[in-house]
Amino acid sequence: MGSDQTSEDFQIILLQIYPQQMYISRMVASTPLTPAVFAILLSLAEGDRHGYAMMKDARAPEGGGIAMGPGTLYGTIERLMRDGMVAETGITDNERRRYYRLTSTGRLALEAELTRMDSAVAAARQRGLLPQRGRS
Amino acid sequence: MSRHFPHIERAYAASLWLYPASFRESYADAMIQSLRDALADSNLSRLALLRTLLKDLIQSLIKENLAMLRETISRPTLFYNALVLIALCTAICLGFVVIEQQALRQSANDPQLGIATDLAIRLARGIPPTVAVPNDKTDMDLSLSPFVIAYDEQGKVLASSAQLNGAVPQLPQGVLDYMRTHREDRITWAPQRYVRIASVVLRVSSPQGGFVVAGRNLREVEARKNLLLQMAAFVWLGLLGIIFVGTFLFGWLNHAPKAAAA
Repeated sequence: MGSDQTSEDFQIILLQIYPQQMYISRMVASTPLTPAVFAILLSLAEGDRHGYAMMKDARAPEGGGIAMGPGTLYGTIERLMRDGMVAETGITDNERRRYYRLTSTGRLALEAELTRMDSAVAAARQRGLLPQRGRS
Repeated sequence: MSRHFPHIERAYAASLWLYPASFRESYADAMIQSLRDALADSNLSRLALLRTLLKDLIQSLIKENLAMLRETISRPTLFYNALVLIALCTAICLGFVVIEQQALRQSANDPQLGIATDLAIRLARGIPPTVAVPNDKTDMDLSLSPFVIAYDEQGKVLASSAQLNGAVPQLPQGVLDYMRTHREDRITWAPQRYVRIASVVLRVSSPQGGFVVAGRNLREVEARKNLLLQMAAFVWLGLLGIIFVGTFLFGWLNHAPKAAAA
């Protein structure tokens, strides 16, 4: 499944392969991600991360620009793990530091969100709400 | 470095006890490590970090505890047990109210039973009603004292120690009809709105027949019944609170940590 596919596409595929993930696939298709979920998934898209690394990435403007504390981070991670979007790597450099990775379901959710945002930005440009993209 | 802020770490570690047990067991170490990493980050202002930490603590505490509460309530055994306990408490409180209110109402008849019996016996012995019935007039609306009224077989008032708005009220026809075939009746008589009388009606055993009514205003008894109802409602709410807190605590303490998704 490439990132150019629509969210409806992988909703159907997920239903065929993993019927138990029907809820997740439906969420991918219709529900925008919360800022915390988006920031975590975006951070993990670049590679495995531990808690503070994700908080740091989220704080950066390009990472979502949200100030997230450990409570929100691990509460969100728990729900993402339950939904199969994030998994713990089991590899660590410190007994207290835990590393997480993005799963294929999490990547699909992130791609769907980015596609949705991209469509919204394109629509905003068409309506003159944002400047037209310059030539690179 | 983080070792320069042990008080922040200690305070944060203590605050983690406010999270649900399963969440705390799963993530407390990792959360403290994240804080340690943040404290060690020289690019991050301490003030901004503390502000973020405080806001995050309040928001995530509410969120995680509510999530735990939702899961607790959705656990069938706990939910079923709580429902059974609520039903039991409700039944006990309702039963207590009904029994106590009935006991209060029935005991409100006690003086009238004796008074009506005595009057019926005196009338049966041939003592004229005007002599047997006291001359003092009791206002049925205002007074809490017992009163008596003697009626003939047709329901006409022969003598009365009671009055309401300057007149002697008439017993409902249904009561008189009932008394023609029965010896005794105990009723709550409402001769006018907001006036409720605990009444005992007896048939006079004499050739002339007739009936006697002894009554007493129920105002004080009904005030006690209302007080009883309020107290029972208070106890019921208290029991519901105990069940709620108990269920919440039980779920909090016995919540199995979730298996991490692979």
